[in-house]
Amino acid sequence: MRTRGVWLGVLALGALVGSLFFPVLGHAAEAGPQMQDTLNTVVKRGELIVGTFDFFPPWGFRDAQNNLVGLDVDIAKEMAGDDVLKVKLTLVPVPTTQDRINFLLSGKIDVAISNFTATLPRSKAITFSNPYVIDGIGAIYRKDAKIKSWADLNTKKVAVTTGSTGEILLKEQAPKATILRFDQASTALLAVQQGKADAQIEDFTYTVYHAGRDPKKGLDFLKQPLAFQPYSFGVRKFDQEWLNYVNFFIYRLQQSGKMKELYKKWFNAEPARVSPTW
Amino acid sequence: MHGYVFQFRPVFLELPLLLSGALVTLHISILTLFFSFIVGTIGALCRLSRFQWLSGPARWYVEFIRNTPLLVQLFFIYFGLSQINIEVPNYLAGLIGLVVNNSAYLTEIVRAGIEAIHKGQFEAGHSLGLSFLQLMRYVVFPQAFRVIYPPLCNQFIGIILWSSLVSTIAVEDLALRGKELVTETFRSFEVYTVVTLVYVVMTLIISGILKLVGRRFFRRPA
Amino acid sequence: MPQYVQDSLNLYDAVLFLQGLGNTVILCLLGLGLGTLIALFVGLARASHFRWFSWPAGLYIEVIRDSPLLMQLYLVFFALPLLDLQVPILVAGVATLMVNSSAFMAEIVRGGIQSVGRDQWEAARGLGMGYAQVMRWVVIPQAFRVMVPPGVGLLIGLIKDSSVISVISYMELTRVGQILTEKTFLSFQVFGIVAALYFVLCYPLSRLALYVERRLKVGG
Repeated sequence: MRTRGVWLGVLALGALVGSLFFPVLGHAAEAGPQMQDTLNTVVKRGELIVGTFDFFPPWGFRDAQNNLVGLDVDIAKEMAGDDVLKVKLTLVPVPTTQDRINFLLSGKIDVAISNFTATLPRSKAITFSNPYVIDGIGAIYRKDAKIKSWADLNTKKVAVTTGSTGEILLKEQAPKATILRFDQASTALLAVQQGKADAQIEDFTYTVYHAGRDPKKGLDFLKQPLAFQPYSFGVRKFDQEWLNYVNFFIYRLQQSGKMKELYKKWFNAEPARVSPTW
Repeated sequence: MHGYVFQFRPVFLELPLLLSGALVTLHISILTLFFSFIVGTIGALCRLSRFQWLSGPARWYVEFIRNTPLLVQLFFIYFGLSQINIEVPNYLAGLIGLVVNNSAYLTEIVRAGIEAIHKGQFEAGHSLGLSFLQLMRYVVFPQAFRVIYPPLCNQFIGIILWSSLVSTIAVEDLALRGKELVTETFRSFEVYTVVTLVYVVMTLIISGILKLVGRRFFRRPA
Repeated sequence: MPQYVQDSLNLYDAVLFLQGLGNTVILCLLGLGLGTLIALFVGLARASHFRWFSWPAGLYIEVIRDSPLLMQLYLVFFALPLLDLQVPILVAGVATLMVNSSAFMAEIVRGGIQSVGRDQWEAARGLGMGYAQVMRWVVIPQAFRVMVPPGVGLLIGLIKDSSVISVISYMELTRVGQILTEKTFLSFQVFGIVAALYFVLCYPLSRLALYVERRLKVGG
């Protein structure tokens, strides 16, 4: 069987190469997209499945009792709560940045509330709601690396999370930087702490938080965020009713002051205005 | 999702990217095999040694590695050692993890090979006045290698497949390149199908060649 | 900003370790159990004299054995749902382990069936037994003897392989290790404990396999 294996391997290789020239595999017949109806599904099911992170304080992380807590978690609880959907809440911790999209696309979660930045490339795969909070992109770096701006990163080793907005921005702004990719922000941070990388590009609030809690006190963060980014909820495409519902929920969240209350609880500060009218 | 349109083209256009990852996979696999064989042989000799202080620890090493997962070993080496201030860069950590893991299995394979040799060979060698090293080199190894070769080839295939785990510690192998491609194109089905096919093709070709080589060089004596 | 610092492992973490251990066991038993059911058919097909059975079975076995478990997992979890097959996390994990173990188990089944010599077959046939009867009374009991030691070895391998299922966020033992490391950054202690727990699970099984092998050899 094994010698036949060589032939099989060659055959498969040939098929792979051959299909490069087959337009059939490139443009399959367009079939109509199916409309989603997550809103009704959730109500009928009696359960809202929300994807959050479990390693990203203070948005979604585990406390001492290993419960999932955080700002995003509280917002999810609001959404499933008595005033809104009135259903049971199931939180699904999403292991990596990229998985938010994968979990949405594969139907594992109804909505992603996990400090999710809306970007145009991501919008090709999923749909973003209106922003619910503003954050920025920051850098956390080893004190001896002396980073002041994007340009300084060009000669350094920078850790990023695969598929994050930080990674994209880094490739644009500091193309000569040596990039180390990690599945999760926490492992990227570990790399910086261990000296394998000089800096990490992540969300601003993340850099502020972690520079403060470094036990060796060897980390610092860039005081001015390098870019501003709003966070939105992530939902699937072709799901207009659900998108409308989610947007209205966010509007209500801001209007009622609940968002301000939750933000203050976790950040001890006032949230920046997301929209001029809210 | 009805109406999902299969688009393999974006994946095939990025085939060079995937193949560069495949090269890294092969690179780390071959290095792993090389070092694991050396460490495994030392381990086997320790296991067979008369000295308790050699055979005991060797045995515990083998048992511990063979009863714990590779992924945990990789995490331990990459993250755990750093915590006690032993810094290891990611490719090296991946290599060390793979070598430490496979050496345990190779110890047993080499040991089985040596034990398969008839005791009479050792006695004959001794009576001819051969030293330990000469005995090993001219008598034991050529014969042991015949027994070792098939499981060794299997182990190598295993190394290639399980090397995909180093993608979790940021080594740019085939698996990680696949993940990056999914990040860019959002086409998980197409990307992962192609990546799996590349692994299968690599494995089939290599195992086929190894089998042919084996038949050519290790014809069993009549 | 409020500080969420946890500098050492606590009792809740200990509970989480045990939960992870339990989930690993559940995952593996389900995976191997279902995988063995599939393997019985595939292994029989592979051992068959009909090319229409043995060739497809061989292809199935070969492709699965020659692809990484990590890729199989990604395909089941992320790719399949795109074809309208919704798969919850535990099911995806079990399904992947089921498919993976079925290929290896099929080879063990084949080896077991083929270990029963032709003379047994002919003798049984000579006594007037039909195919099914020969299988049930002669082949399978003897094949079973041969299959148990490598079968236990497969279970041990599966327990270790289940660590890969951590990437889809299933709360098995390795994932617990990742979660606790993210919380406390004590990777040395956490993964040390995780490794020790896997050892506690696997080592007794490997001794059991040796014992069973010895007992069965004597039995004859």
